[in-house]
Amino acid sequence: MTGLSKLDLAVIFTYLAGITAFGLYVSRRVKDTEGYFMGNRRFGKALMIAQALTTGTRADYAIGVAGASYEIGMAGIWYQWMYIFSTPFFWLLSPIFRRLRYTTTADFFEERFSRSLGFAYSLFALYLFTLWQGTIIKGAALTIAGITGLSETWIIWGVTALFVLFGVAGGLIATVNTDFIQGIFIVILSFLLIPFGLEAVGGFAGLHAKLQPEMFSLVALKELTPFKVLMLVITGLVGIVAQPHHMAVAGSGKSEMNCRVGWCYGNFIKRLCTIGWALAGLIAAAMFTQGSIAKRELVFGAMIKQLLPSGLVGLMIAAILATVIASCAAFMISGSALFTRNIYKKYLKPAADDAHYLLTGRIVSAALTVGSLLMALYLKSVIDATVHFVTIVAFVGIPMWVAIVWMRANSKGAWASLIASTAVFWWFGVANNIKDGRELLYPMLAGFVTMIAVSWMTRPESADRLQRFYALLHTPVGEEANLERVGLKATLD
Amino acid sequence: MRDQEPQTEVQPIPNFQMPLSQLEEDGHSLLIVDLLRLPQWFSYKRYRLDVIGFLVAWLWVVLLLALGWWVARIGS
Repeated sequence: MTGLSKLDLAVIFTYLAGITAFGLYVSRRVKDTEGYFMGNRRFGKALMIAQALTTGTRADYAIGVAGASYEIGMAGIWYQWMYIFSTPFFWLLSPIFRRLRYTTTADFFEERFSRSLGFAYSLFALYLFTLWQGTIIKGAALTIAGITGLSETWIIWGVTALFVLFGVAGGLIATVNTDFIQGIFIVILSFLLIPFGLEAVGGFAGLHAKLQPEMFSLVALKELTPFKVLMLVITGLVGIVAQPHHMAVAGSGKSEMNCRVGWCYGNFIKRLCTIGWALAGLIAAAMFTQGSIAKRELVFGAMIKQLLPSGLVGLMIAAILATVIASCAAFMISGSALFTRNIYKKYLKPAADDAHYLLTGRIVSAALTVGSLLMALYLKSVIDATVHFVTIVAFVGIPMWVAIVWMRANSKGAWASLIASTAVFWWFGVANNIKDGRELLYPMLAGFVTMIAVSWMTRPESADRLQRFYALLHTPVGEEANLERVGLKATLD
Repeated sequence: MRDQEPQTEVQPIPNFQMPLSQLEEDGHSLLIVDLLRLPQWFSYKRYRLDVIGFLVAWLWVVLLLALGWWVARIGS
């Protein structure tokens, strides 16, 4: 019925049972919201690397890059390597996130600018989490359905139920503690197909014999032109600070060094895996003639089905499920943290005890997931969803970058920037349907210019607000006595 | 404690005290946070961790790009 052997099924069920039991076991250690949302900020270097790798590495990335490389060659790698030039900046940014001591990125907007911007960011981030989880589930379901022949809808429901159980029960501690295992599965996912694929096409020499030379170029003449890649690189760098889960990914380490090493090198491992996904796409191009597969994002599943022996098919499905569970559980928790702390606690029920907020967080986690499940059912393409995400998150990144660097930046400038960049994007990217990179360049220019001009012309934020923000940035965790000397507290009220 | 110097823009930034961190003086200062003041403030000693880690990370970028380029050429 499933197209899977008993051995495949045994591998999958053993994995799922093990990972769920472990999530439930470690959930006994989760007593409060700080533990649920930020893992009590006690993760070491290895766990931080694993967390960064697994929350940033998803099956839909592999599926998207392999599909693009199948069609346009090695240059398809840039759909994920757009972040390769941003990665060194993770080294510089992670101590900033840690020193700010915020739980969510909405805290950043509220503390640096205004409550209204914090609220707006919370709503924006909830949309992003929903979109992202939907994309992840969609990508995994497409592949697993392609392998097994099972209904895509049923797979979407099954995968969703699994990570809800896992994430709601254990929170970030459970997610991060299993990331070691998930990390291994992700590397397996990236490289398992390659030796079998190379054997099928006659090795690297056979690959070159079957494909045109331009398929091996890192520069594509269509779809991902050098200008478009450059714009994706810049957009990726601008938006990286505003990705809603990064406050937890970059700031939950035991020390600044753990945060730096974890975020930076976890992502470098991901960049390495990306080479494997692109190579898999090239192998697919040699195996399947263009047009023989209905959608390019199905090639990954088609390769698994055709190349892997019994047992390894199960391992690959388990690997895909691992990335879905790790990423979705982390996003679900970050999303519920945003809602619970920045909307529910502030505007709906300010005086409840921590147990109430913990329960709220868990309920919201489940509710958010229902939204992403609906998103998964309606999304058209994994790559389109990824580019859409990268584009809109950059608009929010502009005020963050300027606010960190420039004391003069204020909330009026931030609002103006958000409105200007969104409006310019709508004009070029939506109304005129431009897709050559200008739809990324013009909104960013509009956002930066407006942010600086409006901030310059209007009153700066109050001394209290600025002092608190920049004092935190100049006070490493552990030196809170320095804050008290200038009359500040380290924690948010 | 060091005082934040008054600015000369149309609407001046309010004056306030900033904490002084020994760790920051010993290499843990942050390049991005101090970006606009780097021409006056920069010293290797103060930004040691940022500078070393950032340069090493760029080495990894070069290595990965070279690896991607090389993988695409194996067997050609």
